[in-house]
Amino acid sequence: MSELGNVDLAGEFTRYRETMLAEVEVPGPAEARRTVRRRRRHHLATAAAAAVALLGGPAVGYAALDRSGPPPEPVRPTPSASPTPTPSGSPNPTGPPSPTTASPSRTAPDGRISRQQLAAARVDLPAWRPGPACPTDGVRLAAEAGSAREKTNAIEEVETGDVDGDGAAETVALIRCALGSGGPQQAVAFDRDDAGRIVTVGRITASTIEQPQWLTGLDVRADGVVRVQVADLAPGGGWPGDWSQRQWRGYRWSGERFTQVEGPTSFGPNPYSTDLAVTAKDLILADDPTDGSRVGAIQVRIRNLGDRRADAVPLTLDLPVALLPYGSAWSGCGPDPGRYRPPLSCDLGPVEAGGELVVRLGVRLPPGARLTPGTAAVRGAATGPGGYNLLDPDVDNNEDTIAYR
Amino acid sequence: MSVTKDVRVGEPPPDPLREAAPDRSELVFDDFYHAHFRGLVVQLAAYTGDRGHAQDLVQEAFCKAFARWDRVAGYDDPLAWVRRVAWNLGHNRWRRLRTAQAYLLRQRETHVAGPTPDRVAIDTALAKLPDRQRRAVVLHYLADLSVAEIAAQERVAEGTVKSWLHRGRTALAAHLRDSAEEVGDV
Repeated sequence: MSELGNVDLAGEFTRYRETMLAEVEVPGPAEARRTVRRRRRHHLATAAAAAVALLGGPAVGYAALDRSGPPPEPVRPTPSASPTPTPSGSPNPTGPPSPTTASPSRTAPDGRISRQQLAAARVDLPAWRPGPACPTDGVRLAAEAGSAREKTNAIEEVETGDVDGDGAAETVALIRCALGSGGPQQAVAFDRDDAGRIVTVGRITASTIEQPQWLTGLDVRADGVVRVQVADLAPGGGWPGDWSQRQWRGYRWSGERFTQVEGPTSFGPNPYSTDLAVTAKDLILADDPTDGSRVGAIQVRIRNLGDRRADAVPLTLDLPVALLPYGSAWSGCGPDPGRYRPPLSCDLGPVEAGGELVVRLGVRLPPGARLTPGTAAVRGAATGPGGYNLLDPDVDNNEDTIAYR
Repeated sequence: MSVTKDVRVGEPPPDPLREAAPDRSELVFDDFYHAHFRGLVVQLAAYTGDRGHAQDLVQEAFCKAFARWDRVAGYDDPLAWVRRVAWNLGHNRWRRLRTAQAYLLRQRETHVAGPTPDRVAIDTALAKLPDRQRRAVVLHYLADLSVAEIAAQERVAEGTVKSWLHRGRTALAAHLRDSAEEVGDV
């Protein structure tokens, strides 16, 4: 010990340890359990993908083995003793530097995933809503929504940001399962595990049968809130998408799932909407002595009970083909009031909000034609700009049944 | 048999986030964690020169232990496993930080609370040691490991550890004498 002179190293280190021990902040074992559960969930979610990846080569295989927990490597000046440079659970060298914060985030893998990388991987998706079977396990995502085959999943949008507060970015993507011209959508968060594999964090939100039917935008804010733009109604089937109401809703990762933390949770009535009511009186034909035909008229009353103007009201009358349009009331009905093919139809309107319209549409049964008395439906619907049908909160009153004889 | 020598410090702090009914293995893990977390942080902080980062490294090592706790808990010396994991993590970190200049800069940035002069002197002296000597000295004085145990962790011969310790202690004492003389001159 002579080389130490009068320096008491043991005493120095004892004091060093005592002062330092008091300053250590302890995240706690519960935090460790949470971290592990989160990673384990990632791992389970990608078990199928990992099994496939194992076929890829020895480097991937080693990484997978490492997940099962071999004893750690010895401390060595250089890591060259191991078959791959980064397998032993060391901090991801590509992680973003964060020199001053004291949190476990420094070792979080970089979860930025490009659309191409996401499309190249096999991923597990959170369950789609019940219904047509959209695949979820070990699926390949089409890079472009337009290129997806029926009942396959496609990427519509990709954004990145730190959604779980681990200091590294994750990736959120808008995914659609192609069904016909549409299909359900969900916003899904992805990350990378320590081995660099893409893992699924969870579903942020999904389109629904009711509302929102349509997810139209995605954004990750700096504070980790994932913002999803949702629309009440999906376009298609005569509904133009720009009539849909849109909202930005914010979701935050709770450690277990995404929950909505801001924005509205429901939609008000869509403004492209009005309540149309159609009533009609029975048709009673009378003999026309001049030529032996029989003629009559259907009186139709159309009321706009809503607060939006109906630009036009296409009306159909489900009468027997023997009855032909007759009289001047049909002149404004459009190009084909039914003269050439049933049913008889007439484009009426406009009808202002709160207003009503009454028409008497004449019909004629030619001489010699027979008519068996019966009943017929008279239907009307309100249309808005561009001729698209407006929503109608009560469709039962859009139709009336009349008798004819 | 257990050769866990790290000092147990204090009682477990209250953990409000703890689940209502943690299973048995979690309880054992909790005890293990509280018994050794702080001691390991001190070692890693002495080695890396960054206490905040040392906390992260040790927490990460405990996460890795919990992830395979069924097996680790059955080892003869679970603490040795966790310590080795933490040191592996710390070693990678240190390699990126090891210039003395960066080290001293980080000291000033990190310890805003104002460490005691003694601690600064030890930190500064440790930073001047080669990595292997610094590891040996820290494991000896702060982890209370024997030469044989250090040799086992480092997977080198005991004679090698003795050599590291001898040179490390000599250099450390010289650095501390120098700094004490500087203080005395002021």
